[in-house]
Amino acid sequence: MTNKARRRSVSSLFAALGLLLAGTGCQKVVTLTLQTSASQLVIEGNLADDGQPAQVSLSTSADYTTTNSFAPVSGATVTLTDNAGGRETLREATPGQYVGSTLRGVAGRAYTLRVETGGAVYVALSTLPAPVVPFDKLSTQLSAVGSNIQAVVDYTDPAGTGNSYLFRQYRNGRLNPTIFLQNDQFTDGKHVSQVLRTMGGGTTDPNNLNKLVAGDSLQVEMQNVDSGVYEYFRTLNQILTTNPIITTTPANPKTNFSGGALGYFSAHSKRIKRIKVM
Amino acid sequence: MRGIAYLMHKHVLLTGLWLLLWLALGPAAAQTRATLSGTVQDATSGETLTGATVRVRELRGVGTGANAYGFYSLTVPVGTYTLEASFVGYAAQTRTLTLTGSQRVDFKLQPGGSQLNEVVVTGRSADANISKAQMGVEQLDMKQVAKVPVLFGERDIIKTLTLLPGIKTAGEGSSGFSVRGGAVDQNLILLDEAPVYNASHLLGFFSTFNADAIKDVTVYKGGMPAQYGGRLSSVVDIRMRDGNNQALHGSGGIGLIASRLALEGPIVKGKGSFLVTGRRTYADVFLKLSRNETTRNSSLYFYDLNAKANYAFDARNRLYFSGYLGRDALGLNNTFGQYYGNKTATLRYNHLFSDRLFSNTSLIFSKYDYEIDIASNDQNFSIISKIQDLNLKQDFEYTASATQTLRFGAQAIYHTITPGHVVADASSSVNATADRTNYSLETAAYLSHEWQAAPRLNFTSGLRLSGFSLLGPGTYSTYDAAGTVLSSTTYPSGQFLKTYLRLEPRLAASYQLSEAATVKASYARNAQNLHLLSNSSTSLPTDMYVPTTFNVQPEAADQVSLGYYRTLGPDKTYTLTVETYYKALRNQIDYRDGTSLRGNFDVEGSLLYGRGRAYGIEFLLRKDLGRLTGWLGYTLSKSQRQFAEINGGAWFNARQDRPHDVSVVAIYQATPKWSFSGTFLASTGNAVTYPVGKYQVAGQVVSYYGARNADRLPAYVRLDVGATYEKPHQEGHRWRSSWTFSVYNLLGRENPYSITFETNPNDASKTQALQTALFRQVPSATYNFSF
Repeated sequence: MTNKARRRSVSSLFAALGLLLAGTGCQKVVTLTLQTSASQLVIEGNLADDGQPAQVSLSTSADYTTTNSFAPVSGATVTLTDNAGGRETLREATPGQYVGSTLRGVAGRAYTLRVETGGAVYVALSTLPAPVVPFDKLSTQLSAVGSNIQAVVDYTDPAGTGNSYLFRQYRNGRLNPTIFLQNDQFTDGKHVSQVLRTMGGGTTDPNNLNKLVAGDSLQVEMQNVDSGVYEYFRTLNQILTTNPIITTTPANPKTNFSGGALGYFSAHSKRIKRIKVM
Repeated sequence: MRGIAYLMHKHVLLTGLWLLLWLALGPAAAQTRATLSGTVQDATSGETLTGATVRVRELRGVGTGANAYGFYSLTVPVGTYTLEASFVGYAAQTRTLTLTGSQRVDFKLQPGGSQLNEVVVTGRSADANISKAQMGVEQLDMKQVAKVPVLFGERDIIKTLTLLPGIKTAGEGSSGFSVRGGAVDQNLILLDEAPVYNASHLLGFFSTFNADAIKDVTVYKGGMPAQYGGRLSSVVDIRMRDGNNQALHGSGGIGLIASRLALEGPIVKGKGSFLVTGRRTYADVFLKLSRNETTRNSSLYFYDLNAKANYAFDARNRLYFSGYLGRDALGLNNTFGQYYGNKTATLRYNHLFSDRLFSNTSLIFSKYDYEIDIASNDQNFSIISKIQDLNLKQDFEYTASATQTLRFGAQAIYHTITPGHVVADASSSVNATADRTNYSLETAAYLSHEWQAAPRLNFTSGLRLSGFSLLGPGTYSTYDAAGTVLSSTTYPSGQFLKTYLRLEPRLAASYQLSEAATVKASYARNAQNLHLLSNSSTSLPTDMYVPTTFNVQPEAADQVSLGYYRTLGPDKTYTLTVETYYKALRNQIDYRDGTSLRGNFDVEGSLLYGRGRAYGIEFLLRKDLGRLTGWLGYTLSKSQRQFAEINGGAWFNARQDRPHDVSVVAIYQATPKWSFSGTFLASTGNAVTYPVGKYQVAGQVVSYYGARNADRLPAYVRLDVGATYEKPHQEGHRWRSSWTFSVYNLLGRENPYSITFETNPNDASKTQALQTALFRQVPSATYNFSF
């Protein structure tokens, strides 16, 4: 079990314990007066080795108390280059959505994404890891605690540290928001059989993405990501999985963009497995 | 280096000056003087009474306090005197004697007990605060602690301490606390001189100190005497009881969470005694009754064992042994287990070289360790970690004259710190990681001089020289500005890798304005060489200690304070204390945003160094006499930090910065059977970081954060009440019993423990702030007995 997953299981245990002790405790939604900031540029760039061109989305941040609506950023100049001499300018397909045409994700290649907008330049570098570590197996099991069905992914980490993995889980085609991260800090060169632990999962709500029941279609996507992307998602998870009992001082995730933008650029492999939950 | 040489030079000079002073003032007059010395004990149990006052009625201002072993020494001109010994909760005792030569006078004081109308029970030496130069010190009366209502009815000295001005809990239900704006790791917590590295059980809801075993608690918030060092913000000196040396007794209690049992008695009547106390929770008994198999196979408990024994070979030689063992266990259906706890042992030898020179030699062992066991799929592994101390300490107390006392001594601590590392066999999918144990030696020598320069003027001056050496073997790295490893060097064993020396001057002065009022001033410098890394406000068993190394510099603090002390009312019924302080902190440690502390060998590369400042004013009105006792405290304070890499280098509020803090503690002895108590707390909320915006990434709505700790949790308000019923004692029966009832948070106010931000579960287009409160009303009942 890697760092992240271990922390999550330890934290959730403490959370459960805390709430158990605090049998009289309670949670409620409160209205706060929050400070605001100037809107920030958010860049989300992805290039996978699935034969599809690069996709870059530009948007801005909003005040916390408003309804979720994030204005797209149009008219930016978005260029992608690789270390094999490739270069292209992405076209804006829909407002704020920029799509490449010629460059494809190739294992071992380093890509540079450059975004120019509002007189400022933001640059990120990401390497598509090579060789791509295969996704050996997807299965399910009953959780050791409680009686939830959990997805289990198997892969064999190659010798030598520095491999990082990201998993996304879909229940009946719908994406579970949890970002599952692994690296080989503690599992270098080992066969890994990793449970994708979702938060909760106790309800019978058929729309609950954390719950799996027999008959469900389960899809898991495995990505090989570079260490910068891993760091981004690790620090993103730190604020996404805040625990009300173990409070930490939150911080913005470590982006791989220079220039002060939020978000990330990830060149990664993409391997998908689908099974029917028994 | 030149600076150190200069300071050393100054140190030698100062020491010389002191010696000259007491040589000139002490022995010169000795021909016509005689020394009174002895111990002050409880008449019924033989328990020594630390801090009991012994004074000579005929000589105004001549008196002393019994030390931690109940010993006092007083040098006065020969003559006929009335000697008076007094202590809080005891009937004062006087002895008239004609002094021609040095004489031993032992006092055995009768406890006042709860028979209110029987004897005049003297208050906490109300005079001590008036007549001594020491400031920033608070003592807890264990009898009061027993009656203050607490969470789940578990008497808790740490929780009770946080009701005093200047001492703030790190969070509801936490055993961590902040003293005068300092960090949680800047408190030196000593149990019979052994440092306790993790003073909490069960996430901090309970502290490791079983009140049954504790004799007294003294906390220094500032102006620490030179015999203490190693932490910046406070010293909490907890002493265990010695045990009854007259007869075998037992006591215990059955509470909501835990049960306690204590046994004490003489080893040789009047000469030696023992004490054994135990405490264990029994939540896991209920787990076993569960119908759910997972719950049945889980464990959740903690226990404490305290043991102490002492034996006086004669009036000049006494040996003490004390030990503590505590353990927490948390297991989940054989897939997850976490075990942690402290072990301490102290062997002490008291020796009187003469009736004026008291010596104590201590050999101390302390260990904190944790183990996490994980078994999941093919991932079977453990994580283990420990911090262990071997400590040799020698203290002398020399009564130079009626007006001067010298304390001096030296100490050496050998630290072994093993950061958490993975232990796994080859079949596991998890690899074992290197054991990066580090070794260090912490040394100190001190000299302290207590001097009554004039009847109204007192000085305590001291100097502590502290050293810290990083020892081999070990692997240490250098880092660039971004925290990336530049080079690593592995050193062999038996080498001093790096040594830091620090001089810590301590000064205190008091001037008695009148019989009832005193003003004081003090200055203290402290250095700290063990640093706790935690990225949570909750004290977790896995929090990590790092020593001072090549990269990590010793933390340092300078504190100045001014105080005004006054007794009020006809019988000095009330004492008023007003203290103001300013504390400057250097080499404070924080870490880069997003740092992972677990399994991170290069955590030093992620550390940031900055400074801090804390200042404030504390008001405390105490009433220690009569049917109604308690206190009223108010603190106005500020605590801030500054790091070049955080907040753009601007000062920001420390998490524990809570400008306003009010606490009221009242205990009312209504009848001999019934007493009632209440505590009221109100304070500004912790400084926290709320989002200043939000954005969308990876299919999720994410909070955007601005300046650190720029927001505040709502104010905290809580009222706790309690009642104690003592069953009337029947003549001829040894059995005594009492019931304590309490309600924690009687008003049921939902005090925010944390506020988290999330997507509205019912409307994904909206985000919301979710407030978590830990406790509404928590009633509890405890049955206590003794025989």
